[in-house]
Amino acid sequence: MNPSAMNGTGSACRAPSGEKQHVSVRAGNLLLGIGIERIQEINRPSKLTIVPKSPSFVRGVMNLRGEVVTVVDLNSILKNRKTELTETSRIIILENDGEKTGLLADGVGEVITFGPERIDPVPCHLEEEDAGFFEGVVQLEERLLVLLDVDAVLGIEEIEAGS
Amino acid sequence: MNDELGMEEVIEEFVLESQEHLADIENELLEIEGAGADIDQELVNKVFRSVHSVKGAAGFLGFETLGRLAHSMENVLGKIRGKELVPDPGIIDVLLEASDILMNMLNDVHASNDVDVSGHIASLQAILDGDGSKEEGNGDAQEAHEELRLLIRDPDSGADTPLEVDQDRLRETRASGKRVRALGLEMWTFHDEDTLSFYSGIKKVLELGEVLYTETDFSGFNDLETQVPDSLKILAVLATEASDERIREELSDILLDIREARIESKRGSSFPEGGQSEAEGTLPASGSEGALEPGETSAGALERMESESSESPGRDSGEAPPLPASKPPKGSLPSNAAKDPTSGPRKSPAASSRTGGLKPQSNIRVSVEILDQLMNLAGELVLSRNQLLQCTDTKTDIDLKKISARLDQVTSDLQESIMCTRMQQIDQVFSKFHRVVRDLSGKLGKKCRLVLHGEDVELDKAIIEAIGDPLTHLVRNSIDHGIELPELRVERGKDPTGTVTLRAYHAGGKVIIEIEDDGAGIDTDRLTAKALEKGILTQAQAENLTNREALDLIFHPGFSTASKVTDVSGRGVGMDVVKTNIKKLGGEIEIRTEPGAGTTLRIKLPLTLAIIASLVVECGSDRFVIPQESIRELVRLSSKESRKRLDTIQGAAILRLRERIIPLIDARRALAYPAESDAGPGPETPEAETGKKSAVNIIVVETGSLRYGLIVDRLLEAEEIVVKPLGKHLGRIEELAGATILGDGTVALILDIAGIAAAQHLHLQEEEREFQESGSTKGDGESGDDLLLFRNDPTEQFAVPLGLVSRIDHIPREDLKLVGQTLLFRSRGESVPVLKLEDHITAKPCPDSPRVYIIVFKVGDREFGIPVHELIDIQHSSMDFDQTLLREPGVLSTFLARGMNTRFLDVSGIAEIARPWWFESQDKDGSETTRILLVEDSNFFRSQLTGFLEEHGIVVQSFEDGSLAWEHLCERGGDGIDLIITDIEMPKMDGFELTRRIKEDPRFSFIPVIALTSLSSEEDKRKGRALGLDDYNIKLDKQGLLLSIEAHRLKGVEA
Repeated sequence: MNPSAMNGTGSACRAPSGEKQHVSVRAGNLLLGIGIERIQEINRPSKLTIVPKSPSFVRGVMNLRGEVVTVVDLNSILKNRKTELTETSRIIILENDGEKTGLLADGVGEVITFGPERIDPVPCHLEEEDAGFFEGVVQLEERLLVLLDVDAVLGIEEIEAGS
Repeated sequence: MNDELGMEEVIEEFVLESQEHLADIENELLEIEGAGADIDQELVNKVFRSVHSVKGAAGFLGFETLGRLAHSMENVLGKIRGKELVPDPGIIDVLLEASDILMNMLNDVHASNDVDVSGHIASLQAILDGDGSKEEGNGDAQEAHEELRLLIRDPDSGADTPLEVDQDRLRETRASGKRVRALGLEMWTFHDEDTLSFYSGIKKVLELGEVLYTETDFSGFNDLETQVPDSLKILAVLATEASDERIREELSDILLDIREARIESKRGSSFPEGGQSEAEGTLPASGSEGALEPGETSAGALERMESESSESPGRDSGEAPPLPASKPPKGSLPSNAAKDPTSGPRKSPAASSRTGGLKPQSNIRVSVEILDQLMNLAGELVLSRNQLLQCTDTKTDIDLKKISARLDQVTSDLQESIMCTRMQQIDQVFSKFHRVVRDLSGKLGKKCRLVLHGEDVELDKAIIEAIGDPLTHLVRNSIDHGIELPELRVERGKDPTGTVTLRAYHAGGKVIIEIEDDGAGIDTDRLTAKALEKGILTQAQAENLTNREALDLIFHPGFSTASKVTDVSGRGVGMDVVKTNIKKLGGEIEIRTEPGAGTTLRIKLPLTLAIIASLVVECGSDRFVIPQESIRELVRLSSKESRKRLDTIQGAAILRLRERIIPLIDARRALAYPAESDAGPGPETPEAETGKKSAVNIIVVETGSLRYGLIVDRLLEAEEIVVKPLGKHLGRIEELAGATILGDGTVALILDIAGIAAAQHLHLQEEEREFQESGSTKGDGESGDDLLLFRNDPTEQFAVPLGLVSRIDHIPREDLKLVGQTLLFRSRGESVPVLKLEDHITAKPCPDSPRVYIIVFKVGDREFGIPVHELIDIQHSSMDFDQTLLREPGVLSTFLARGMNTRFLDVSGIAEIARPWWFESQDKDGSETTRILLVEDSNFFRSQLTGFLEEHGIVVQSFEDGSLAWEHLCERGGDGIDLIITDIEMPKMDGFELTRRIKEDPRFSFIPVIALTSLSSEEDKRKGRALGLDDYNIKLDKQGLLLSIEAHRLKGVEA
């Protein structure tokens, strides 16, 4: 009931200059950026229950404080290989369509802040079939940060699960 | 003007409350229609008030279109209330349509001003114009052309400001003779216990009279940079009968000032206001003010109001409002909180002293989201509790145990209470069918009445929400396809008005909803013909169709009986969708019909979707959950048995169970797990199983009329689970119905029994469903036994043989005493040890009620009690159980009794688990092998006893009845037989006859004979002894039997 609490939600994570914060996520040799506002939380992989007959990119389901959350494997989606669970593996909890989904990645790095002017279009050397999952690239000092289109990644079921 | 930040909550409140007001309007209008000229004043008044308050609040919030429509409805309702208009179906139609539109507008309230309601308003106006009060209208005719205006007077300048108000409303108001007053109001956009909420403020104003005009200053809400103001300034013009004093009193929390206002002709001639005591007469309008455009002027009026309140010197002191004419009673108004730095931002002290008017509410609105969250948290708490209990189990700290026991109880109660918040009456769904039946029967030219029963039956909110569409479809079907046209009904000797009955009731822990019509019924021949035509059936199949199967064709995808898809029941939705939707809810649907007499559809629904009883099983090292309600029976076959009972017919695995053939599905195969051995899954090659596994676990499940056996690796425990949905990536997996979180925190998947069958292409078997419960009497003279049924938890039913029960005591709980490690109670001067069922088998505990039943059993020479919460029934059973063997130690078998899966307890087995030392002495030390002839007609007992005796090193030869045993004796002689154990009641030759022959024949008379009975009467015992029976033993008292065998074997040897 407090009127001051009715501010919009999206604006909080936006730096005043229009710069946006991205969490860098590792999938194989790719460094991916996910907008921080899309991330609910980041966890170490806990016990996953394997779901029989599930699409190949689904790693299993996990118990996130009483909620059953599907965990999809980022490497399966982008690289067509299963993520190996290691010390650095993380599950990034994202929300899409009011549903939480976990994204299993090889690791999570620092938060990178940059403005929209630094985002370049996806270069053509990225494999074509994956390009649909990317929103753009940002040239960092040492390497390239590829911005992940979270909705495209989470929306993958429409393409594959039906087949 | 109304979608600014900060107003959302107020608007939401308005929408919710308006929806509540209008929720029943449909049925109320129909009731008004039904009453016709015989008006139920109270009812009409209620509808009138509902529409009135929607109108009023809509005006305040700037939803003008909503307000106008509600106003027109109100006018018509007013005429009905005043008996100037008789509500006929035509009028009610218009009102119903208007209320539909009103509801739609509320659903998307921000777009409501863009909705075109002119047609509806015109229709409503036409009713008013066409009504009997024409003379009145004509009387006003000359005035109708006269333009009126509403003026409010500025108290300082004395200047009048005209306001734009609908002419009709001005005319109405003037005719009513009410006073007109302009109120300066300030309302809070938040509220706590000390302030009135915006919405309740509005309602207070509405209670005082008719609001002609409102204007709200939203300016503070447009600017995102500044903090949203805590209050809103509103100008409202009220036509009221209340005195200024009363207005001040009622609105003391929100009133800034009261100003003069009046209605006058635009031509300048003034009309005195009825009942106005002060400032009589008219005030000449200042020419300049009168010429202003309405928009400007009203804004100006507000501005002035604003400046008055903020400039007022009396503000800060909390006294002396600026205008003598509008002086509030005393104390200040809690105004300007946002602007005035000296006053508290939230509440002024003056405000808190004046809130006696707020009544404590017994109901509050809580969003479903919060309830769901609570539910989740409670689930988490249950989980933590379970972990804690596991921890404390290994500890010896008594205090810790007490605390965790308490926590256990509280957690369960909490979970239950939260569940209750989700329960809603089915009336919510049922009541909307009045309209459906009325509209549809009208459209089809049929006559039909709706009868409702059991509207107060409660179901989980999720089910209530989901059941609406399927029910609507079924009700529409009943009217469209079931109920005949009136002429035809008369021809058939029926009441021309058909009846559709909706009935809800509880049965066997479920809710049953029935949709019954007294229409034409369903012609199964036509169904079959249709199915042939559509290629759903082949000619050969059609010929072999049972009546039931023919009816089930209705649920076949793509089947519709209407010759063409009507807009009534067609709508692109078939009965197959209805069935699928009901199944999704964990329900079932059945259809019964009698040609010429009507059709009944019966839907069985679980009470709640959220928590279901289930069985946890293991398959391929993962755990899966099967809802108990689809489980009919658990079958465990030893390797030896499985060779006999498992087979393949044309490549399909089957199980032979009580003369029936049941198709089998291997869960591993269904779930795409690798088969356990390279030889392939179990059922096809049962031999492959034998080496590795001692037994095959089969769960006989049922879905609709299909029954099949599901092979799993292991049966684990029964568990109450909270059903959670699977994410969108997994929603299409047919074999899974959802997921749950088990006690240890891992996620387990719930198997979809119907889905698995469908995925494995299992089809309806040519078997009639057997409604007869296995616990009921067969009546063919077979011997049987009485079973005592009881429950500790409503979801678990147990049976024990009455023969082993020595008595039942009903004692206060405190009479149970813990002595050392042993629970005891005193009965007839003796301490009887009490074994809690849950300590020895997988069972839910006996609830903590003040009194408890103790069933005292006598096993061997020992007595012990089992505490029981509820005694259900004593049932005679043929004991024709399958030798399903052990599901778990302590349980002999499971069967269906009173609609519930019932575990038949192995009482002596439980005693042996609990107190092994009681029976140690009975174990033979292997001195000499005992050979026994066992005569028992019940397969179940025979295999039970054989197994038990063999375990104790006794060689058993068994026979099904006395004559077979006698033949054997005569052929082979009695050498080497130490003892004969015989049942009394048997076909062909009973136990008495067998005993007589043995005892009369010198070849055998030395062999001791022990009779087995279920409940022996003294009469029988005398008869037996007269014939030479050596002993009696109660069936299933295995320890007693061992003692008896030992005693008589020795006797036999001596003889």
